[in-house]
Amino acid sequence: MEESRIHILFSKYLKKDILKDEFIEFRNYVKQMGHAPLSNLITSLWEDYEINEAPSADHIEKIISTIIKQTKPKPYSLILQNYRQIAASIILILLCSFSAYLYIDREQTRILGEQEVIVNVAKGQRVGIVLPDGTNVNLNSESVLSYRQNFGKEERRVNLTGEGFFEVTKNPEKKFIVHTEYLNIEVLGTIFNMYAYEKTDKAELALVSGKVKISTIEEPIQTVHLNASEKATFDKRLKTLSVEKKDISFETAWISKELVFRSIPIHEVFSKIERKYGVIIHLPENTIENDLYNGAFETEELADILDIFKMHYQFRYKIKGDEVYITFDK
Amino acid sequence: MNGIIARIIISLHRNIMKNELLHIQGLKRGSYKDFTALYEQYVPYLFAFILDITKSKTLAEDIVQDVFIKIWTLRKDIDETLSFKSYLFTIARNMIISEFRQRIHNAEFIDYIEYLNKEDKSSITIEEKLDFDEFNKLLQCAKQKLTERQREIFVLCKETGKSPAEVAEQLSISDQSVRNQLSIALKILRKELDKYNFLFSTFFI
Repeated sequence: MEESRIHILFSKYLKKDILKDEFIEFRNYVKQMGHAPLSNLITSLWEDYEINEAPSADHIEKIISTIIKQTKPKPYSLILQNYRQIAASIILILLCSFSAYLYIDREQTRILGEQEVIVNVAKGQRVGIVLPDGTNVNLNSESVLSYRQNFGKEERRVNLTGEGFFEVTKNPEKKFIVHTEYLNIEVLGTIFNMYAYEKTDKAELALVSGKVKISTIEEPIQTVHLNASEKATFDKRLKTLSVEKKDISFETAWISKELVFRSIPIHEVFSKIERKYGVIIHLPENTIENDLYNGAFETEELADILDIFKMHYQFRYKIKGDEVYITFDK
Repeated sequence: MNGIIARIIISLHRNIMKNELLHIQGLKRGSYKDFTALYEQYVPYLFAFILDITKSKTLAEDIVQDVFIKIWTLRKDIDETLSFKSYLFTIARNMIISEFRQRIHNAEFIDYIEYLNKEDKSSITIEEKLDFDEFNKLLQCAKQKLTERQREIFVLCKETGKSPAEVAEQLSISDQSVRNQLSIALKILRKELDKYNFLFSTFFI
């Protein structure tokens, strides 16, 4: 009895054909209903639903264009999505230059050798490459690594902006040098993570194994030697270079596609997420930004990670293009 | 004759279902073309349904977008034994339910229903009707013109559904002055709402 009544009221409500008193009655029914019965009710309405008011083309176009913007694969990033493809194409370039080295006369080889190879990583992507000396480099979102084609002939030099995890092949005769905006890194054979984005106010080097020498580019020149499990931080405003001994799994977590947080304030957690996914997160001020967060994520999708925070902090979020908006109910 | 038509309809329906299954399988493999075919077919339908439930165009837009973006993100997990229509709804359901509950318990929603009731009798066609958000925006603007006391009385009488006598008792003023204040408030609101060129002439009488 009650069920058929509420069905009638609901379909009147859908058609905007419900009287005020009926609406109040309807609202009271809904108020008393648990999640499951209401869910069943709405599901049954959906099954028999017929459009009674054709939606305007404007709305439909707007929705579809947003869907396309957020889902359509970009041809450029399609290439970069595949680690192996990019590694293969770089190996191809190297093979070409090697054969050029063999067959073209020296002068031409020298000119060719001065040309640069540039690897530019798109937002939200990660790329693994192998340098001519066998060094492995993983590059994080929006990083640029460049080197000359004659890399390794005398010295091994690369330029980096952004973040890179280097596993440098040991070669005592040829130093491996990384140039960044503020720091030069000199190594023989080590594993380290270099974090040097232009937009952040710190540059960091976390050393996994081996030894490195770091020097600042600007005067006064500061130099430090780093041992395994140490991290050097250069403050771009204060121009100071400091060293601390610490567990560096946090710095290298992005390689294994994991995010690990140990008592980290939410604003820092979000900035790591922003970096990893190439997004900007808008968090209302004076909410949870200083809350300390513990946790590790292995999931791939940004939405999955946000869902976990959403459950934890009871907020709502909306992803619009490269931006994430977080709101709290009052 | 009817039998033939029925058979044609059944075979047409089968074709649609078969095509749909092909699109779902394509989507699972990551085919954007199949995704396009599915969203072109179902966006208007889902939008109309959510609009009917929430009475808000912007909200319906947002939910439909979110649902299809989620379907694309989770494309590998799609259960192809379900019809796409059912799958679509499993993704949309919880968002719809929570928005629906919030909506109908909104204090101004009663005013909106009343507006719809009155408008029905005029010559306005369904398409020209405001959705709840548009209506509420106008109503909030109009309310700014009321004095604090008038607004209080209006809210108590119209939005919580109390009788003038109850309101009079609650505010410890006379029954008559509640009626007077309410009638002034309604006049002001009507005048304000009339400015927006919508046919509010019958509203709040």
